[in-house]
Amino acid sequence: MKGELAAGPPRLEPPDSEVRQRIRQQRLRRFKMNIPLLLMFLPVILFYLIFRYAPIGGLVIAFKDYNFYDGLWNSPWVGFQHFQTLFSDPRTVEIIRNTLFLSLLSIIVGFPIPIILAIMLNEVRNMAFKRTVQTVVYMPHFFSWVIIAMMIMTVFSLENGIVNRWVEAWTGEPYPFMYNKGSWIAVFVGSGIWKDMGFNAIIFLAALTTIDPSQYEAAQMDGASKMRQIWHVTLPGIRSTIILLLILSMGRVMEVGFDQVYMLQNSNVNEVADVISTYIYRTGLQGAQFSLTTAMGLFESLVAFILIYCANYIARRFNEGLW
Amino acid sequence: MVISIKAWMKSGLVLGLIGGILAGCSGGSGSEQAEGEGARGNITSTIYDRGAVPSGMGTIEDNMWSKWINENGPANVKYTAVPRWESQSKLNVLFASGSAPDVIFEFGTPIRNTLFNQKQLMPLDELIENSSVEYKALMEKYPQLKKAGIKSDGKLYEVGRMNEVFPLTSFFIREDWLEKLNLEVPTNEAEMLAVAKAFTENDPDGNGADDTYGIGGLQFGDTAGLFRYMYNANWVNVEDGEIVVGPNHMKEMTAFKRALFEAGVVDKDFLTDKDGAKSKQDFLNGKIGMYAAMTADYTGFAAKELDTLMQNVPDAKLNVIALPSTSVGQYTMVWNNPVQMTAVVNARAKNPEAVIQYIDFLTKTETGRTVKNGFEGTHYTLNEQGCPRISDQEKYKQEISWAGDYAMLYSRLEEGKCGYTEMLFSEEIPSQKEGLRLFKEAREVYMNDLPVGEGVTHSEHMPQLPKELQVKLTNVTTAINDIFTRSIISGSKYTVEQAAAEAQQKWEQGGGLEIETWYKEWWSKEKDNVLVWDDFYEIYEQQQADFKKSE
Amino acid sequence: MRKTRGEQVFYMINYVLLTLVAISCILPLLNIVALSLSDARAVVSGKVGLWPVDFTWFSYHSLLTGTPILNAFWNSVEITLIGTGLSMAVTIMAAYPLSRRHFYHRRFFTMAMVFTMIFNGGLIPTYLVVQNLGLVNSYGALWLPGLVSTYNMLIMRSYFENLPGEVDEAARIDGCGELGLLFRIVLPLSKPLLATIALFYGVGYWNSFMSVMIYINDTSKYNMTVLVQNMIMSNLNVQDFTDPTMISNLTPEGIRAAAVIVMVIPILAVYPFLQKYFVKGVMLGSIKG
Repeated sequence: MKGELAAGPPRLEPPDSEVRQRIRQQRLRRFKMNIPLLLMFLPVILFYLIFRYAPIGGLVIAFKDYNFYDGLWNSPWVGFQHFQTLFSDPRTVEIIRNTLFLSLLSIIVGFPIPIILAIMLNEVRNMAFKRTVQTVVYMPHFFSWVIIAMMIMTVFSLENGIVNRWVEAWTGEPYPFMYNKGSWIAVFVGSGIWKDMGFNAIIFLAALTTIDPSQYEAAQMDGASKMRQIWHVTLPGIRSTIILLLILSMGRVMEVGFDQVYMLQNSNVNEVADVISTYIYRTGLQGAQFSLTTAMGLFESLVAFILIYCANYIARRFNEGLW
Repeated sequence: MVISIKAWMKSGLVLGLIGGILAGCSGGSGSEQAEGEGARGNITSTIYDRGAVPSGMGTIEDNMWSKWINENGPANVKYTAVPRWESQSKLNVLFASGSAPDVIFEFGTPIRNTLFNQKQLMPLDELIENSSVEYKALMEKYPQLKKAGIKSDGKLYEVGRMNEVFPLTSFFIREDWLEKLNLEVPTNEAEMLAVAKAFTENDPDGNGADDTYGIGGLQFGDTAGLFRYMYNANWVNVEDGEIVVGPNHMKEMTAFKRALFEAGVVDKDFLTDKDGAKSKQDFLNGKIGMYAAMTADYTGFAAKELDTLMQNVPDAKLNVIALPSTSVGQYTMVWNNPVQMTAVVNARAKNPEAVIQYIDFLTKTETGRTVKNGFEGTHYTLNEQGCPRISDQEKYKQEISWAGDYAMLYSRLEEGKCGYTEMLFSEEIPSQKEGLRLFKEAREVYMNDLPVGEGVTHSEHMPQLPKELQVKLTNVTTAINDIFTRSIISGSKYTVEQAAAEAQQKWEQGGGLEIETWYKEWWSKEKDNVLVWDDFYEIYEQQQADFKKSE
Repeated sequence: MRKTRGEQVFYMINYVLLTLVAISCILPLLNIVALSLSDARAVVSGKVGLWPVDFTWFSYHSLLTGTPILNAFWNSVEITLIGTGLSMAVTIMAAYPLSRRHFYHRRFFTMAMVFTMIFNGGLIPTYLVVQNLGLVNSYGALWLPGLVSTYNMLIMRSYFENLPGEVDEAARIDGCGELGLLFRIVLPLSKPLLATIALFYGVGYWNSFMSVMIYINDTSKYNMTVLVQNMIMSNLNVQDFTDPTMISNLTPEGIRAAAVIVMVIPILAVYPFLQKYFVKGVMLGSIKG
């Protein structure tokens, strides 16, 4: 029959009219179920169109020589000139490299930490202790880097820093943590992890509550130790959340926060510490060179998009993709 | 169930709020429509917001002073607040959306230049010629005002004020330590190093602890401060009338810094001391022997830092000393910019006459004096010299202290002798008395005809490079700065010679020649129009002569 | 059940590590509190560690009377409460349909939203849109452009998707429509998640800086973040020697510290309340019930 889906060799089937009717009924049911959903979704579509997609049109700035006088529409076109300017500068490549490196390192090292923290908190029996620690641990997220950076520099200072007092006791000489590239990177990544781990753990804490306690009981009865329980029950239980957040963090790979770098960097480590955001700030680009900054932003977005797409592709193999 | 009630409430909220927001909100879109000429005009203006308006006094855009200006001025002014430290972004969106005010007050030269490059400013030549009284007179008295306000197309775009010329930084030494260790004030590099070492190693504060430093205030955040001035290590210098662009004298300066670092006379963490806070703390606790401080506001410095030092270390005696001579010459400390441009006019201003009248009003001496000091009797009284002295500190703090930005066009010295800095000190207070003494000492030491250690002229009068060159310059100066800094702290692994060689290489590869050519061209065209340090010195002498006359 | 030896060791290590971490996190707070309660001179001389030196309420007093912080505080509250409410509602309206397998063009919509998470037009184009809607200088400019965070929405969607299938069955049997399912089953089961996302939005709105600074012209409508940032910046950029007489108006460090505390306390106070939603097994019980 025309219009029938070719699903393989013909089999014994009920009469066509019945099949068609059933299909129509299914389609009608699906449509009915979708009506409230669509109604609900309508404002969302509006929102995205107006406030997210409309401004994307402004990305043309990257291909124009934008100035206030001519406005968005009349500014002259320059094609890929800005991209050429950006990439012909040897520093640009270095800066992009730094950004990617610091970012990926932070993700690789830092991603498991909030998970571990959440699991540790989850295992605490004493409610008062648990609540106190949970609250305390998410505090540093709210202090600006201005404050935290000052503290870090005090702690690691060459002259009187606490850390160096111990180092001196052990090795006789203080170690310039903030001035050597390797140790600076370690301090940078470590401080970033420390600041946000409590806050990032929250989402995992929420996910942990959805694990069925009877699974733990079953595992215990099978004689599993604490660590095995965590490995076989806890982690799989929050698997989707982990994978989701991992994919999403790929989208943020080009965003090394300006404040953190600016406050912690010094002339000695600029080779590894100068990132896109500080570069833009330093060259005063933010001020007047809209087109150049937009071009750079466009490039950042492109990289993030590629990474997220790849991550999602891999995740789909595990049935966990975003789309 | 409780949950569904919450959910319905949320939905209701959404609908109601979205409706309310879209229907009921208006906003400040667009600038005020001007009324006819002749009638009292309506204009708009910016005013800096520093988050400092006390509660109960209104807001920075609507308070007793904005009202006072509206009542006593020639036009109705509506103010738009601009955050002091984010003015660039705010002005950008205001201009991009066509809703910027008529008058823009802005200290930042690059920001004003950006607006000019974007063709957003109104030329003021004819307006001032035809409609101005006060500002026109001021420009005639000080032709430098006109010079400084003219842009590359030859027209006048900026208006500003005349400031008093005095040194911006002071290099202090602990006189009491010199006496204790039987030393003389250092006059050259070698002596400075020797004195610094003595300060560090010989326990001058006599407390038995090895906790003193020879020198502090090495860097102010990212600027090289003291040593830059000492060696005149600037990217753009004038030598024998010619412009020289590059890492001038940086090798010598770095060598000296390195010697200091290796001798242990400075805090080894100076690189991370981003705003000089740690160094300042050490100084105020009496741990530093030679310290360079930003002293643009000597009364403020006296009230805060000096006062703290006198409390913490009562035996401390400070003296201001000259910059020691170096292998590349002797220079003097940088001075205040006497000709400061502070305002521009939006090209789209609808009532330019009213704008000019407003500018005139703000230029008037009485206006500035009132905004800065308040009303006589209520806020201040006149002392024996006829100068305003705050009579009620609380009232001053509550009503006056935060309103300074309304006087951005106020040329203090026009008031006569009371506008001079040295008259601002209240000598009954010990820290102020000491501050006055140091101020006068700094003037004596630094206001001379030694070349100023900051290149061609004050940064606010330097021209703006074209975009691509600016990017190149920033990149190459950052890289070279890093190179030299590394050689300060890397010991034998990286010497100053190596650094200098690499720096030169980087300079040439990074477009140094192009940049130098641009500056040379600019200099050959604008040599006679640009205000340089010598011009400032002339103004200084004029100001001091006027002061003596008015006494 | 008796704890095994292994379990005892585990718990002990757990407690010790968590305590160390907690201490490291609370030290900065103690330092800032100490700064805010110390005499100005001690603060400037760098003498304040974890405990106030020369205890005084002066900084708080100056802060509350000398700056518009109280007003800004209430503005922050308003912006946060209404903003969070709106965002939560619309995010649910986005996440729920996207989590239903039979929703038309589910994949397409998701991709389209993720796209906007990565590509955005930038400050000026967004400003122009907001301006054309007449929202400048009103809080609508803060709520509407930030109504849905795609990031948060995806987390919510993932959570809804992972609710067990029995839930769907139960609904169908009961003859519940999509709306009923949402309100009577999905939302109640998602309390920990809703609390989390509400916290994320709340913190976001509470800390909003750039959007307030750009869209709000009346300083009486500023929120605390902008105000406090102004204060902090005026100290970092001490070299504003272009106007010498203004330097005496620098915000003393003690007042800055007090401002930071005032800003942070509400957030710290809110979290413990939300923690009661993070209870294990809430879902299990509801399904069985």
